[in-house]
Amino acid sequence: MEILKFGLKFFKKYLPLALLTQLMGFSLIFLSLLMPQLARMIIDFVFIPLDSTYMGSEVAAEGIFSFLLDGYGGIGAMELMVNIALLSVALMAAKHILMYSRNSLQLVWGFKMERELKRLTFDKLLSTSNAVLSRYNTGDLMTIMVSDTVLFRDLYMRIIPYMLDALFAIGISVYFLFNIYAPLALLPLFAIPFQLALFVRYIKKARAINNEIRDSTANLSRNVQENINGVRIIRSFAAEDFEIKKFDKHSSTFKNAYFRQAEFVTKYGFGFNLIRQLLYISCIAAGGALCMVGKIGIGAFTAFISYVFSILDNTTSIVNFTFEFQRFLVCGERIYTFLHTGNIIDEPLSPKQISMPPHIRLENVSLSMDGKAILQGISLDIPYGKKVGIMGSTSSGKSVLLKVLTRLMDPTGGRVYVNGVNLKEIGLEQVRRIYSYVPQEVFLFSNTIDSNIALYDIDMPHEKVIECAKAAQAHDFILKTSEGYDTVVGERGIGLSGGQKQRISVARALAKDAPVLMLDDVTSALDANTEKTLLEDIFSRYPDRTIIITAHRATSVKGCEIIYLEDGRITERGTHEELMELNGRYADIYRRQTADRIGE
Amino acid sequence: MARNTYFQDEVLEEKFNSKQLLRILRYALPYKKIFIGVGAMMLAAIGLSLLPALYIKHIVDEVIPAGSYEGLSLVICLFLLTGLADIIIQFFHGRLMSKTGHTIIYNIRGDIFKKLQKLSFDYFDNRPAGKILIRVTNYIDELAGFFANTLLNFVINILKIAVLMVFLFALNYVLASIILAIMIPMGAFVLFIRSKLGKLFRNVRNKDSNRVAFTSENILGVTIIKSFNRKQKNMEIYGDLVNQSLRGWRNIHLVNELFVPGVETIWNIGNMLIYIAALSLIIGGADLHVGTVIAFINYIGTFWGPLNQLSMILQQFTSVSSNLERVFETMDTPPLISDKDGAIELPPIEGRVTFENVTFSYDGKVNVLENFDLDVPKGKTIALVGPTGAGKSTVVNLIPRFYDVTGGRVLIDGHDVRDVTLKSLRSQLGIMMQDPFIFKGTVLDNIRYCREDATDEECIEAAKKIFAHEFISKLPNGYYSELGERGEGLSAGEKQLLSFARVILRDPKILILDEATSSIDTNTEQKIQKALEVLLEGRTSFIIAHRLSTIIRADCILYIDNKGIAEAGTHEKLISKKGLYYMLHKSR
Repeated sequence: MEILKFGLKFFKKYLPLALLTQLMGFSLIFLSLLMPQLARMIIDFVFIPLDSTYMGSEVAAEGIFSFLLDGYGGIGAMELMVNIALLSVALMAAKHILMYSRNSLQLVWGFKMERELKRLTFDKLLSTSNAVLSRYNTGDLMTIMVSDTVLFRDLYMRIIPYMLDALFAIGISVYFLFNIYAPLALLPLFAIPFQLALFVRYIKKARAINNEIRDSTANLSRNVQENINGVRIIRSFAAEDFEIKKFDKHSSTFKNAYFRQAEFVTKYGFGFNLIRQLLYISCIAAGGALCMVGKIGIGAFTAFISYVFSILDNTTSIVNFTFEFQRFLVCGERIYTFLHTGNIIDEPLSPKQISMPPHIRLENVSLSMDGKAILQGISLDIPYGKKVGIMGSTSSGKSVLLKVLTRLMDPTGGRVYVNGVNLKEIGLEQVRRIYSYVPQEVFLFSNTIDSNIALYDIDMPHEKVIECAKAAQAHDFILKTSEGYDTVVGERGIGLSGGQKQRISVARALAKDAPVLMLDDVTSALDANTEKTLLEDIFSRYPDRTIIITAHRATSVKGCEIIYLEDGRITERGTHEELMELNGRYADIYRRQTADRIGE
Repeated sequence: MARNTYFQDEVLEEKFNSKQLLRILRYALPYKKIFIGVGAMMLAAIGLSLLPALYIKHIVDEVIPAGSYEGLSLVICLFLLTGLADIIIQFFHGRLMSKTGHTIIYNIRGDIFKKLQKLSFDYFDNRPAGKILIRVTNYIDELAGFFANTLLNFVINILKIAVLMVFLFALNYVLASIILAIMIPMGAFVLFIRSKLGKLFRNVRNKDSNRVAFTSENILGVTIIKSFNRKQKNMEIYGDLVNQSLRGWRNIHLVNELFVPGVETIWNIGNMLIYIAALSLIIGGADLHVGTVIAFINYIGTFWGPLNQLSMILQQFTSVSSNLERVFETMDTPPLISDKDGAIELPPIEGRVTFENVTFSYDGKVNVLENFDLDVPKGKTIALVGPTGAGKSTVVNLIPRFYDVTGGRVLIDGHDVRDVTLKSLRSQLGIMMQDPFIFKGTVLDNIRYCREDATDEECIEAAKKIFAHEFISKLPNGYYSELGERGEGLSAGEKQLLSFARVILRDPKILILDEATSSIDTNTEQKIQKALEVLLEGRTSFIIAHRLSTIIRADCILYIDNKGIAEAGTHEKLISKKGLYYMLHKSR
């Protein structure tokens, strides 16, 4: 219920419009259901009287359009026919005008609602903390933002109005049936329960079949994707035949899932068609018999069939809509939950301003997630211009530390200060302007290399882009690509090697030109020589800036003040010389690595 | 952020190409018996569809006036039989055609996948993976409907309309001509709306795909967007994309909503004209009865289905043909490297590798290797060092024929690699490049990879030999632990060891290894060095080396520079030479 209210919030101001469109809907349905009455008139009062086989039988002048018959006997058949024809065209025109206006008006508030839902979810994506987002995978977020927003608004724009339409249609049809000959209304009552029962079973089973299809589609897709990504190793192992066999399994499963769907659909189709046919034929039988005993006219007979099917079809629609109603409500629930999941990183109510350059200080910072301690008691003083090197094994907390500094994650204990102000009291945007951050996971957008590097400021002069690319040791390989800086990269562009992507990522950070440069393991995909040149270049270009880097190679951090992290704690800290003298973990790693390294 | 520049490719101009359709029809040929059978059933169904209206006519004109209950029962029985027959035909038609359609696309999909296995690296490097994927999945999926429905419907619907028209003319030519006259504006109207909608849909598909891609990138790159203060800008861009999308959909709706009113109006006018014409005829003395009039009104309804389906056919043909264009583009791409005619199986090799006056260029302009000569006896370890881009990778890529030489020959045990089948060649080599390629599956699956005949014990033996057994045993399910895509949960060194195990299982006589990003993981580094010793024993090895221990141990070090071998020799010899290698060694 809450979800429905949540949706209602969106078109509260359109409620009068929505009510209007609903009324329009009811009116046009009524007009629609009048048409069989006109047909009835035509048959009973135009054609039957003139038909030799029916000479003598008279039908009472009844029905909604009996006003046309005023003075019947004095009206010629053709005049009556033309009157009815004109009336029919007029009613149709009225119906269509109502229909078109109603559907167009519904778009007005429907699309506004969708727009708003999309805006809110997108804003949430870009505002909320990593901790919240980590609960969703990419597929989930895509579903919420792309399809749930559409389906949820469809609930209000289409499902609810049309359900109400169908109910109204059934009501009117029942009324008309009674009007023709009350007991006839019983006929649909026999068919409807069967139809409904079959339909409900169908929908339930259809879900399972659809899931099977969805799963087999996803598996096939994944299999082909892996094959494409792994082309080098497949060729290396001459594993083509093996891959073909593997693929065939998935392709067959896919085919069989559709086979099952075909069997399922045709089986139930047979059932539905059978019910419809039987209903139709019994209507003919009943109607025919009633005509024979003179209870109803031929015209009424044809009208009666129309109304029976109207009831059957609308009942089926309602059931169908009910299932969609449930489905779409679930979509709304997902949106609701996503939007209302606690914003763990809050914008401070009155953000404080800080001046540059930044002096950063960590005071006993800890961070625990799901009961696990990732950072423990980190205290670190980083005056502006300091070069900090962070080393430690893969899960020692290096990356998390950097994320805490830029408030992509918040510590669970301790505090971070910038120029004496608590990080939590500074506006998020301002915090992030302090840092040029190169995260460990490289991500390039589907755009030109130039646009990727100039991400922070799209109006950046091209010379600056080139300068940063050079510093990141990327300029040379960029020039070798098909279109240089205009080459499109990312998901939809050409494939770059891991090292090349890393270097563009570094160039991007350099182009932002922030006072603090943070490089999280940016050289893991580079060979030692390239790494050496890159770091040397950066250090020489920005001698005054704060630079914080994490690395696996001790040679990367040699010129910095080094901290060594183990299980989230700083176990060693000092300059390279101090740590070598200390003869601890760092010294051990340094010796091992350099003993065995050779550049190119 | 540029939006439409690079999405253009996905929206190919949709043209109708009959050559492609003929080519695809060949896939339907093996099933022609089914098509013919179903076609015959549908013809019967056409006949059956004429009957109900006739039954009603009979009831109205004869049974009811006569008051005959027997007559009514008879017609009702006929009705039941006709209805049942029709339902049964629909049942078989739906089932058979759907299954046939999916079987045909299963075959097509198999063909394109097999073709992909033959294509060379450049095909994959020059395209985003998504574009290749979509040709194997979505584009082919859409063909199922084409084979299942469109193909036959095209013929059947035309027949149905023709038969119906002939029949109606026989019944009453005046009324029939009215129906014919009505069908023309109805058909024209439907075609008009469909073509307008077609254009609008294409436009909206564009906009939607842009929007969806932008959304996906914002999700994947959310950390970057936050770190680079792009929230506001991206919200603006997104708002803009959403508006464009919605505008497109609004236009579609506004046109689409004209459909039903337009068709119904024409239909209704047609009905009224039938009534009026019938009335004139009757007044004029024609022998026309109510039943016939009712029948004609019913028959107008039966035209609607085939007419509607036919109006969609052109669009379906067009969209299928543009999908086909892309599918065939892949299927027709010639592989750069393939077995030559009469290629022989490479017999079990000893491991002698010879480069004979080899010249190689990637682009045909600049030579990366020139007059390169090298003879490596079996069992020797060769370390390749030198500046980036000098040609080290190129040299080793030529051995498994990842590329073909532009001059000279590469020989294994005296056989030119171009004379033997690729499979017999590569299955005897062990190649480990930079990416260890761990895929989704258990540890055992990853070790075994494509050697289906290897037992679990053999895999475990291989793991033990290269010191991977210890870390594998520590995993939650040991050898049966499921590894994620790309091997999440393992460190870089552990992934390397796993890929070593894979190669040891194969026991190749020639080994190729790229050490470029080694030694990142200090924890496993010692194990890796020991594993290397084991790996290199008894094989001819080519290593693009970065570890000093590897290089010193090599039987011969090749310093690759300037299109060939600049220096060659053992470590001691090259050091004493005080040349390029010496400089390199000193610089660390």
